[in-house]
Amino acid sequence: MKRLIASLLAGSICAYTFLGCSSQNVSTQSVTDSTGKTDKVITIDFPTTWVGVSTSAPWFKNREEEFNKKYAGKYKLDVEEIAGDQNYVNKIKVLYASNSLPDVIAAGGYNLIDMMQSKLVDLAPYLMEDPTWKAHISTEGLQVNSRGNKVYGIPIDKQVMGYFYNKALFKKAGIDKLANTWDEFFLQADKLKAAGITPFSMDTADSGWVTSLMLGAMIGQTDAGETFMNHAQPKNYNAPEFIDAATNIQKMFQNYTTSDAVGGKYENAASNFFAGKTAIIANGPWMISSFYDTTMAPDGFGDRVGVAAYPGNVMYDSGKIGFNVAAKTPEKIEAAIAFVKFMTSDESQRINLEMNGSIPDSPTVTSSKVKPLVTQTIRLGKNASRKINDFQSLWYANVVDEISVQYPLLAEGKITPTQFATALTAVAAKNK
Amino acid sequence: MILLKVAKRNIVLFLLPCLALFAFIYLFPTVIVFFTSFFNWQAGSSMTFAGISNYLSAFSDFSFLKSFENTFIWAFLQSVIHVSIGTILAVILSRKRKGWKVFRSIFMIPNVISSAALGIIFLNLFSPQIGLVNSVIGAILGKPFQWNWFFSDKTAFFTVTLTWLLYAGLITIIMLAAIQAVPEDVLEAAKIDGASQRQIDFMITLPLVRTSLGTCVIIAATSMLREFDLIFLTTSGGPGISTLNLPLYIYKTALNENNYGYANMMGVLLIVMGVAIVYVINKLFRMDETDI
Amino acid sequence: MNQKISTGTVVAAVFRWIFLTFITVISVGPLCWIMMSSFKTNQEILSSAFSLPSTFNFKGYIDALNLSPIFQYFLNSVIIAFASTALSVMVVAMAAYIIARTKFHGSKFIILMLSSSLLIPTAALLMPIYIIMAQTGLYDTRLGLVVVYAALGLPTSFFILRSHFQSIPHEIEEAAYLDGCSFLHTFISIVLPMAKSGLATAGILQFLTSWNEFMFALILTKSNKVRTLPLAMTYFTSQFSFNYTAMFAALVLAILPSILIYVLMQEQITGSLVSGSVKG
Repeated sequence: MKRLIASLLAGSICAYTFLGCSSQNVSTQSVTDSTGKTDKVITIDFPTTWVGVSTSAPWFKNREEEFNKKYAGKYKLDVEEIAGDQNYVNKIKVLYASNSLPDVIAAGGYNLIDMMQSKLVDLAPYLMEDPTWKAHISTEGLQVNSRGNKVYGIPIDKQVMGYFYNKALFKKAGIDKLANTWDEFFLQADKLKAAGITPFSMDTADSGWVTSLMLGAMIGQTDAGETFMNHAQPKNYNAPEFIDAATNIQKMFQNYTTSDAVGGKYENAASNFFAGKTAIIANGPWMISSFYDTTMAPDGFGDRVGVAAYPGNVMYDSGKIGFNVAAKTPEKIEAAIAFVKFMTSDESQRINLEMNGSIPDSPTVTSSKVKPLVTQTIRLGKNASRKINDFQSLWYANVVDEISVQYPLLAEGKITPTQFATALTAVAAKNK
Repeated sequence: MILLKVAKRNIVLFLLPCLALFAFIYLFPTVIVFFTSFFNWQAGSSMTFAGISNYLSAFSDFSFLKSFENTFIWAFLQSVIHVSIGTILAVILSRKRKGWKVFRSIFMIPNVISSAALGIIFLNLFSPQIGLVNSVIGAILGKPFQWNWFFSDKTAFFTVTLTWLLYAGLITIIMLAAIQAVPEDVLEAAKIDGASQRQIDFMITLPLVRTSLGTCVIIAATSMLREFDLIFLTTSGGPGISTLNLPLYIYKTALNENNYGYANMMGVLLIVMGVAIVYVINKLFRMDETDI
Repeated sequence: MNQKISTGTVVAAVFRWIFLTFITVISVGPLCWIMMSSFKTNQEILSSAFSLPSTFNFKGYIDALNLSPIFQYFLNSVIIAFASTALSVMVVAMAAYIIARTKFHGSKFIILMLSSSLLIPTAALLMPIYIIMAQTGLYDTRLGLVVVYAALGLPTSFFILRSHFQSIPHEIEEAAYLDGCSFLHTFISIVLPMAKSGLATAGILQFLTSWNEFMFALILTKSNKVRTLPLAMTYFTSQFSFNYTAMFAALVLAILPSILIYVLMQEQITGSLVSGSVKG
């Protein structure tokens, strides 16, 4: 026994020596980085979620290699891999609270600008210096990333979403044209049910994305609703258009969807659609490539899918929050801006469009190397009568989180749509 | 109680490393948590002194009250049910019947699986459409059964409570070690006196491992006061607030609402509740005394 | 002596076997399910949880290795878990021994203080500990995680060891002191061997804490050189994309060696757990 203790002690001492000698990264912002002489390579700290199973991972790998090649000897990317959007946001918040934000942030559309404004670099002066760069940014994109005259983000893509439907199942149920009103929409749902098909894919977990897109589209069919669905951080959800939409959502949960919708995650909703169990799912164009992925969907599924605008010709079509810069020293800011310019360049956006179906922000980027559904989505967005923004980009974070736990109550009939609206309003009020 | 006389120098020497480690990691955070609970502190704005207003708001905050209640109930359930199950298992294994070492390893397996995986496993187990539980019930009833265990208001709390059953393995490990540390001669004497195995278990061994039992109860109760992963990964506190507990509510307040002052206030209340529970258990199991 | 097999004994035996079987099923069941799922496609996993896979291909495993730096993370987890366990157990054993054997001004306070640290919610600790690590140069180092994990497990280890020391009879130590042994020498060569099972228990719990810990690993590290296994699991699902096959494959890659290590260490450290008895 004595020998064991001794060897344990020896072992741990060795471990410590080893650990101490292993290279340490003392790379926090609070350590003053030296001088930025012209012969020294400047590193750009960039945490990202575009790793692992994220659809943007291959695109980002491509961009990272190109950037490091283009600026070899001058700038180098120091990438921190943070898989999972929630993990990413959590870490950025901790870094923010400790005054150690990284040089460049890309939160995937999540709005950090309002919270971290004081530590973000205002990019307006740099845009003024480079008019060609500014010209490539869409008006909606610029507007959503600005606060007053200051610009805190540079967008790379736009949010354009309708809903996908299974053409084969529609045919089976005898539906031959798309619904123009929500009444027609529900009549079609009844037809699907009569043909033994579950109409909608829905979910509630992780902010109930798929469900909330439907909710937002229903709200957006009137003038007041369209205004609401473009208004940032609303505090009051008690409007009639919201409650009407919530009533419909309750109906959908109770009669028109699968039994695993309540508590379901995105993967449950998606896989029901892929398997042909449901006929309609609301989601964005990044889903299109999975229609052609045989580990997810049956062979040839992509050809059986159509994309449509929501009844009333409503489409999600809005600017998205893009890259933020939080670098501290002039050299780092310059490097960070070079990186952001590179990432948001027309070429990057084009490759993003081709690889991921991400709708580019820049009005001048097009490509023929995309799936037809992507082109259709873009066209539907352009021709929409009403354009709205999605709830995750607009609403307070705690409301987005709260909606996940309120949906099950609404679905079970434990609360009325009015109470649903009141609950969200109460939670929104907690934000000062 | 018999104590050793130990030179002061040795006392300090032996306590110092532990206290140093403790101070290094916990001192600064504890001070911040305590201090900022008296402030209005939200991310993105400056801190303003708020006196006890955070504490006062807590008592009219329905979510706080419910999460406090849930936490307390779960701590109680875990201490009673899981400790009982774990102890019974430990007693069974202590007989050293064939294969006990294998069982000892088996019971630890769930603890090695990351909670992310356990969350998915439970969600699938209780899934309304494809879950095993519903399939079995459906087979017994003869017709399809699609109850939504985790997300129906009536059964959410119960289902979440079930998910912690797997942690009884940890209790078993602790109790097993304690039972096997009971001096042989005491057990021999009892056997010679004619006591049955069960009598020995309950009248002699259990009282002697009293302090370890108390430790297990403390560990079980306090683990519920910190439990976060499995709830977050399954119901996230829902439906509504029926499965919300304090750590989860604190997490949501801090990371979704960015209200650090309020979150830290709840942290202080959590610490106070926990220390009170530990104190009570300490007294209940007379853990400051030794019998030998 | 007459061994009468009463119905009571039979009932007890039946109860015992049902109990053991039940616990075994719920302990091993999840693992079996994970292994089975690692061979199924995403479609199969999500459409019927308990069917058998249609083919036994290893694509999931290949994807797991491509999507995440799992081996590197695994190695880091092993190093960090062992180091933090050694640190925690050593440091806490000394303190727990003192608290168990002596009484002095402030011992009650120390106990309360250590209990309180058991309860501080992680969300509250993230930012202060990050600042500490950053200021001391321990951010993004394995040593930083070792120290933090040892501290996180400190209260639990303390309670376990304290009650364990209390249950060890002290006659042998007293005899050693009377013989003239120094305090330190007695502790190392006599007390610790007797407390082997308690040390092992505390060690196992500490190991598990370090092994499964996620939040601090995320916040306190940055580079793949340093990161641990729980972070590897995040690479397989994102908000709109998922690869359950690869995730379950990664889990199998992580769990099987863990179980092996656990089983081996059990034998090494605990050996014969019939120690602690007083000889003559």
